[in-house]
Amino acid sequence: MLEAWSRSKKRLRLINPLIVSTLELGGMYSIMCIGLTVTYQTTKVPNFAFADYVVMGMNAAYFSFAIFSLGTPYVAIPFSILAGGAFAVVMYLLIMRPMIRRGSSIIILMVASLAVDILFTGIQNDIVEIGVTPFYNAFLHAGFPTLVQAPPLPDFVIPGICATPQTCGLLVISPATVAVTTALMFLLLTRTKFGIAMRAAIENPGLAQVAGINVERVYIVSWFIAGGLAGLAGCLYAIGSGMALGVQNTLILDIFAGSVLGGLSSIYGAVIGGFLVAFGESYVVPVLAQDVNPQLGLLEVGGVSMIILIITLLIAPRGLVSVNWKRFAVWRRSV
Amino acid sequence: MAYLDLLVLGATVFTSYVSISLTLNLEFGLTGIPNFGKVLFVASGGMLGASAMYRLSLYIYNLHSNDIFESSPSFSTIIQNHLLQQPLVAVGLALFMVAVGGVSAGILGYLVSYPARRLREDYLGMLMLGCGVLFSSITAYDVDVVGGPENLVIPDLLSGFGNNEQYVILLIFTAFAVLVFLYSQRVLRSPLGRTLKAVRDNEVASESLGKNNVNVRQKMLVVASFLSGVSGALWVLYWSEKGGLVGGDVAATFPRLLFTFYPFTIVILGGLASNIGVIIGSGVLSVVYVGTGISLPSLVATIKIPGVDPSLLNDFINSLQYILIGGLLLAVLLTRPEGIIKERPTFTMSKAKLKRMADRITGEGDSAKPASS
Repeated sequence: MLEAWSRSKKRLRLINPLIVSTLELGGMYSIMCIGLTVTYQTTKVPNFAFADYVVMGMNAAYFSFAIFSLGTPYVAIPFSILAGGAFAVVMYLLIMRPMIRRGSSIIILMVASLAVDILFTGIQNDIVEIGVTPFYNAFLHAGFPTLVQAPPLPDFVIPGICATPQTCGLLVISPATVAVTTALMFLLLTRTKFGIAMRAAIENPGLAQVAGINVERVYIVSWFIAGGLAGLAGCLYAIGSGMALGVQNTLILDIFAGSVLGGLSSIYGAVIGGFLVAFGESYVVPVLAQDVNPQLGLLEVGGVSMIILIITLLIAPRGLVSVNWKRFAVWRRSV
Repeated sequence: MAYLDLLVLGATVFTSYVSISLTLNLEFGLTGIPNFGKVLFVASGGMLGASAMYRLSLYIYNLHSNDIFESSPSFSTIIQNHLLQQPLVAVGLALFMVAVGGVSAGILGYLVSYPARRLREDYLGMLMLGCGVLFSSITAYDVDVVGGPENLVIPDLLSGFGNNEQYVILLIFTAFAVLVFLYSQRVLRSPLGRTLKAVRDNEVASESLGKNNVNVRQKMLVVASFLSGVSGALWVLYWSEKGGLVGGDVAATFPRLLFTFYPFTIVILGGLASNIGVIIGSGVLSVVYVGTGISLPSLVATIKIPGVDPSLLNDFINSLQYILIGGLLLAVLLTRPEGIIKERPTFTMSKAKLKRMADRITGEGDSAKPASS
């Protein structure tokens, strides 16, 4: 019996679990990095509260999954998008816009986004500690082991592809979502009137306003898009790894690292950056920890992303997009 | 008696915040370095200082173990008993800890400032924040520095003072805070202070006047890091008196809330580049800390609500602090962005002296006028 099972396992040729997690995580990070790039482009402020939109998306995923007793957590994606987007728009309208209008410096805006992060952390911790965990337990009829860690939402299984059936569907869904998101963003920015207005408003707000574009509305919509992408990624993250208390603290580092690596200016750069950070985190680190020194496994919590961030800032501060790749091609030809 | 203890504790926290926030004011308020990783410098000073001091005391008293962190509770009592007989060694160890803490934080400041030299402020903020989080997560899990999850129980160095220990610690904290205050005030009123403000407000202008922006930032970061490292080591001194652990339980010894967000709130509440404002802000925030961080949990610990886990309530109050601090910071930023004390041009000389000089010049001008015309 066991022998037959293992033989069938061999025949199905399982994908390396490290590659599975790289692809899953890479997809999520890419979507988050696209979102951060959009907010950075519109307001030119690194938004330290961005990972909170992701957590908001996770909250929405858990809540809607529990309340509406959805069959598969992927149905919760619209709720997550709405929750993340609404949070982003509220933050923009209540905090960022008045301060930008007053002419606050970038540093002060950064502090404001950090303050939102602190405030949200407190509210989130309290809600999760006091309200949500008993609520989840009541609705999902599954006792959560600890108060600070919610288990991943159940994923569907594609037989014979991956060894961990728990997050198997995500292997396909996560990269596919990135592809769809990138394609939609491309279409939005190049083929629709609103997208062109958005680019104009980002490029030169004054000129765009003179040309009759409602710059305010464009900004609000861009923040909604950014927050919605974060919420979407949050839903996927809840399916892939569950929700831990304070996950936003390390998540923000990964998002920043991926976005800076991508150049904070291009959607394609953000996608590449997100996948590279995920590759470093869930492929390189486990391999190094196994082969070289188990202590290196520590780097998984924010370490890899910080190393990537520092190296990027030292070598190519404008990111991968700014690197003149042709130069290397010429060099190769001459050799 | 309990109230007196609370008062001493509040005063200790207050002086500690004054010194840490003043260094943040030097970096953030004066020079414009968004040091969102303040906890890195305070915690590195405290943790590396404590670790070095512990190792040195093991060497002095010839204690050996396979795992020095696992046996740190018993070793600490042994060391403490030795130190009761040799007060000079205790003072020496304390000085050593403070020195190592300050120097290592200063070195870290230099290391961080190296990639930070050429960065714009937004990238710099990301880098600093990341370094702070990274340091916390490494010390929480790495077993070599301060024991990681095993924690390090460090000996109480000043236990020789007996019941007066908390007053001695308060005295040390106050002395250090006064020193940092005098230094900050001196910087603020010196040509250096004006250079820093120029670097903060207009890089191009300061560069055109021959100032090296990069070097100025780097030097300020190193100096402020050194001072915050000393504050961190002093905090460990206080923490050891309370019988606290240093190590994997970073969340308890050097939480990001207390050593990054509190100082930022203090500086913004008090007003950028204002040392007096920092003192006022520290006063407000130490009341918040003593209220929600110390009094409320101990109050709640006495209340028994049936069916509710007391640790749950404790966590709830702990998170309440985040809400309070975040809300306060946002309220200040939205309603009074300049803080309690608005930034004004600083005068290097007293106003009376300036007036006398002005009078002399105008007087000379008046007397010279008829002669030239």
